[in-house]
Amino acid sequence: MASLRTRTRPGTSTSAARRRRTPRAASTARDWKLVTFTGVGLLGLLLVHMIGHHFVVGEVGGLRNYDQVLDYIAHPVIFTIESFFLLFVTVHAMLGVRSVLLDLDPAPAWRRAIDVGAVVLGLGTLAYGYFLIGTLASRA
Amino acid sequence: MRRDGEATDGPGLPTRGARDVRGPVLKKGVGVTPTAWVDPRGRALGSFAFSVNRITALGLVFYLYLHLGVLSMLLRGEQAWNDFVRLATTTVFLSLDVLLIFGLLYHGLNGLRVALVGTGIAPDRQKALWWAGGVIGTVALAYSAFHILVGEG
Amino acid sequence: MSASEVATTADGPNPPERDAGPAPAGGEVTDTRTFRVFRWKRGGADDSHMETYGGVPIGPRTTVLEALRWIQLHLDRSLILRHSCFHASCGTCGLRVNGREVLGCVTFAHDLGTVITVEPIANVPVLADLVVDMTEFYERYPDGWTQLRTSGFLPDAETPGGIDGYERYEDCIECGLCLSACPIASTSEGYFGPAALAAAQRLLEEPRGGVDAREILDQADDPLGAWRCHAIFECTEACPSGVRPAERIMSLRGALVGGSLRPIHREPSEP
Repeated sequence: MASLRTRTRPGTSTSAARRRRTPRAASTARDWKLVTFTGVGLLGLLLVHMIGHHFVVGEVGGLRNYDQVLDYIAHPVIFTIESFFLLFVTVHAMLGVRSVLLDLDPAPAWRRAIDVGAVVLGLGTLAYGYFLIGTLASRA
Repeated sequence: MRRDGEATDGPGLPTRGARDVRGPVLKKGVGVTPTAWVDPRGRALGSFAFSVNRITALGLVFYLYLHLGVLSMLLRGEQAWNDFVRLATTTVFLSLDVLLIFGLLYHGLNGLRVALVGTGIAPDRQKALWWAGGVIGTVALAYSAFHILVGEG
Repeated sequence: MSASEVATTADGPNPPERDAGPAPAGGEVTDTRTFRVFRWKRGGADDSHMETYGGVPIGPRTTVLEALRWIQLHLDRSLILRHSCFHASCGTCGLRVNGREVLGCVTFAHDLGTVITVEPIANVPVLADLVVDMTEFYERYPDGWTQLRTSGFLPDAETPGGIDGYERYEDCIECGLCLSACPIASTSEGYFGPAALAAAQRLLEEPRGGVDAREILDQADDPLGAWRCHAIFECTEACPSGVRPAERIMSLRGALVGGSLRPIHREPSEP
């Protein structure tokens, strides 16, 4: 097997070559870059999110009562940070869930369903999340 | 003597048709193939790191929706939120917060390791990065646990 | 695949010999081991099973391959295995022993417990018993990749780093252990696999013979290529030759996202 030789291919293709020719949904360079970018971004945003909630706001114990939370989210800087946090975490989570599901080696029809499902769930999450923080900020 | 069809080359030998059959492909995993990524048998640090990364990932996705659900209580008004906060500051809930911090720290630090390795910045330093993340994560987790359970308790 | 258990007994079709002789190699017999060996023969129903061979004599330096040869010679003539060089150069005797990918010829049986489980490598089809069909291993290499070629001395080859610089991909003995160890290959038969991607990185790291770097990168930039890897590094753990396929895939990714191709060297401690 370790002989140095020119590779020859048998006349009939076996599963690896056959399956490779089948269009497949899988993670691409773009997906990987997006996961990495949002992941590294989340590290920074999460740090701000946690420190803001638990160490800065309120003398002891961070955000606690109703008015504190509303005042906090209504601050323009915090609102912007939380908006980006929601976007980054949703994109990162949906790409991650998709990757986990694709590793189950689903049939092509299921792969398509997984892609569509991740987009729909992601958009739904974003829509509800922005509705939530928008509504809360308006109540402050 | 060779013959066509189902003939064999000798007593006890498989038929020609049987010789063309693709043999069984052994797979790793507990029971079914897709579990290969979480099968710890005979595996090294990289598999452990990956498995825990995935388990924390699934846990954090669950928490994302739990978090959105909890924040929805704010929509119901001041009383509903303050009642929830009273429940959330019991020791049991605070312990779950420590578990959450573990998940965030592990997934975040291991994610940073994978990003550094996978972008070719440190392609051959995966073990050192895992242990470095482990030290940073342990210190941060200990501090967080103290802050949550003792500092606020 | 599940495999039922069958023990070879004195009344069975391949009765063990009572006076089986000395240890296969490594001097005096100091101990015995029980081997559980995967068995499958084509030509019938899927009758794969684990067969147990007890009382296999071993010495301190008896290898798994030597013990299997002893079983073949003294207990069961029908056991099929494959080997060639006996010194980790040919990659022919790749096996999974107690779940880990190893070369049978350089793995001592003494330290593996009293019951040693031997299976063929994973993710490629079994031909019979412990022998696999490597065709699919090679078919994972994309079309047109010329990593496997006739050895030759090229007039334009340069060795700026001396001969040590060449002690890398040439170390690949194509044993398939990396592919067997890869959890992703288990769920993705179209995945190029660690060996093929390591070969691509090797070609880019030391281009010679008119290699088109852009073409190699384009081919590796595939959902089933460098991006299918989950950076689990089991291939590197399994590799008996220090090729470090996972590190090479990560290096490829670095080049694919616009960085430079980082060279990957052998671990200094490796033999």
